[in-house]
Amino acid sequence: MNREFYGKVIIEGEIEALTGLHIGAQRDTSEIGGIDNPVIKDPHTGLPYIPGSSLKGRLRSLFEIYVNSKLDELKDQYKGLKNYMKGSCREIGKENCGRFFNRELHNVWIHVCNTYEEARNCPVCRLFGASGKESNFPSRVIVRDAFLTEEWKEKWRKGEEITEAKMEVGIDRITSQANPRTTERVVAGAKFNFEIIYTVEDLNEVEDDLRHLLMSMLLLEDSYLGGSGSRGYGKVKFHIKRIAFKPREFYETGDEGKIKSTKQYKSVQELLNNINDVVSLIKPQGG
Amino acid sequence: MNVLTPLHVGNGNELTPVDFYPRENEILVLDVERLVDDLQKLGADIEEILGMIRNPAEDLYVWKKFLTEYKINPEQYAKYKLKVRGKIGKMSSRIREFIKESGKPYIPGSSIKGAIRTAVMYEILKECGDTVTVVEALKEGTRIAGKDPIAIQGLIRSIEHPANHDILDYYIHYINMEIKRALQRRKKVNLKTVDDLLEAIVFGFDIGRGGIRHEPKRDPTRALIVRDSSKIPLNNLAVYEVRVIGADVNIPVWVEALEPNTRFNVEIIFDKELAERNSDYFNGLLWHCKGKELEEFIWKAVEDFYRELAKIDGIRGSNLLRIGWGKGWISNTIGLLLKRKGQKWEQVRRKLGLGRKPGGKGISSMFPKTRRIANGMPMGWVEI
Ligand SMILES: [Zn+2]
Repeated sequence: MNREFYGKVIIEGEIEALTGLHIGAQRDTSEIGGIDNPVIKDPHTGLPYIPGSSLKGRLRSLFEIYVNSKLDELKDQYKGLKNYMKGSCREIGKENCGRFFNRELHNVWIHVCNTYEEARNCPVCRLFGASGKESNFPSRVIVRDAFLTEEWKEKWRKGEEITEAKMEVGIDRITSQANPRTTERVVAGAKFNFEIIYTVEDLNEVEDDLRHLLMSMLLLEDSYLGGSGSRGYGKVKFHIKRIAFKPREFYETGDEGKIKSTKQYKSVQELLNNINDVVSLIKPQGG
Repeated sequence: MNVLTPLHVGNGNELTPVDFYPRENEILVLDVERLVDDLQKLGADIEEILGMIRNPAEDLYVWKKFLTEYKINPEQYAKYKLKVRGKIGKMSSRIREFIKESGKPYIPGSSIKGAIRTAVMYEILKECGDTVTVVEALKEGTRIAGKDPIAIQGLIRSIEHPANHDILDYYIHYINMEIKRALQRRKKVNLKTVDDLLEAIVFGFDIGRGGIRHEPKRDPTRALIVRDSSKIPLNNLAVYEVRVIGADVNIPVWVEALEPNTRFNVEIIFDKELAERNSDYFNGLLWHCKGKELEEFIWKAVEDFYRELAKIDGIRGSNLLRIGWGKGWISNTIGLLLKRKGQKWEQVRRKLGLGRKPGGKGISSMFPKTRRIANGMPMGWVEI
């Protein structure tokens, strides 16, 4: 095991709910009467937020699916993938059956490499971490909890509703009887500040990792975040505000002059198209 | 999507006479909170205002007295205006509000997806509903769910009964048994859950102690993502008077509905990778029969089902869909297939009380006998 530290890449911006967003709270923490399905809220402010773990989990899951669908091509490039066949261990019912989705977590099959060495050579686990059965590989990506932007907090102070109770009606397909229930969701348009931090541990893998991270963000924009996504909820968009590299020297001296940023790229797609600008902050020689 | 006939999706609220101010052919929907605030500032008696809100006067112009007295133009307190299509009837009329987010109407993805799933259920029962295919799907589904087949052998035996030509023959029998069971317990059948077993068989299921139940995670329509529509400008809303045609008692209701020619965007995504990734997890008749060609099948089902319905309503066009409230039994259910079962279905229908005459005990011999008409038009037709 060899870990090094070259610095951190920080991606900051806003994540906007383009359609209503429902990230559910635990049942027992809900105290709201009348609503069957409340959203998760910050206990200090009572305002909804996006837990970093939800966001990261979704990015990981979408990237896992991508890797699984290109597994045969990617095997040459990533040694860690050699051990896997496409698909899920679900139908075999046993973990680590040799398929890519090899671990059961709350009735969902996910991908996790089992050893440090394997994870280090797997595009998914290298980026998002692996809590293996034998040894752990710490995640290179940290996703902070995303709280409402100042603009939206201000709207809330002025009495604007940030969440709405949405009624949905199930209809019996024999009797036509309506079966209404309400779900709380964050209103479309709401914006949250997000921060994603990538730790540079290997200069040769920076470009690759960042590409994968941004790709996952793009995949999320065409998928959904939170619950009831297939029924319209949770379409999101990232608005990038800043992408900066804080090199090791910054942490040694605290000198902000050492921090480097690219010019502004607003969307994930734009940033991905210009990934070399980011990489050259980290590897100035371009080598 | 383009609205062809008035379209209402409710949010469960009703606007009461306190919330609006009627004028000739239009209604102002008021920002009541702001109005009350300002009236107080002008010196109006809050008790009097509250009294009026609690017991609205006999006529619609509940605010008229105050507005006249304090020389207030109601226009200044209008959140939006609604044209009136039809007659605004009794003074106590209430208006069912359209679903909105941040004040703007939109069409929930769930409404569109529900309408698509109805068509899919109809089409799959039509194409793959024969007992042999259904039994195959159940056995295969049980294997996928990793459960002991004994758990559903009873169900399979009943479906395979020689009297059944297809799953609906069995299902009508099943509803009969449910009604009997409920009667023994001196209860009524819950009309909201009659289709539960059928939904499980068609869309995907898990097996528990109580038999099989629908499991959304095993439902391949999970791969169909239907986004909420774009926000729709408020000036596309109007108040429609909705009448029930064919009923003996005729009490109209008023709804906020999108007017014909309203256009809005909807994004529909078929997530192939999700479908592929879960291919060893989905079960049910739909997946068993059409798994490989699911996406094409969904659109074929929509085309077929809504073409049949459009004929009944005399609606022309292609790529039709019917969404929202007021569609009626035939559009909300697999009624087109049930009616083909003739007397068998007819008996169950009467026992379920579908087509009960309002107020009375009798049940119409013709069903569906009534339909809703919004200012002369059937409701909820859109063009994709
Ligand atoms: Zn891995």
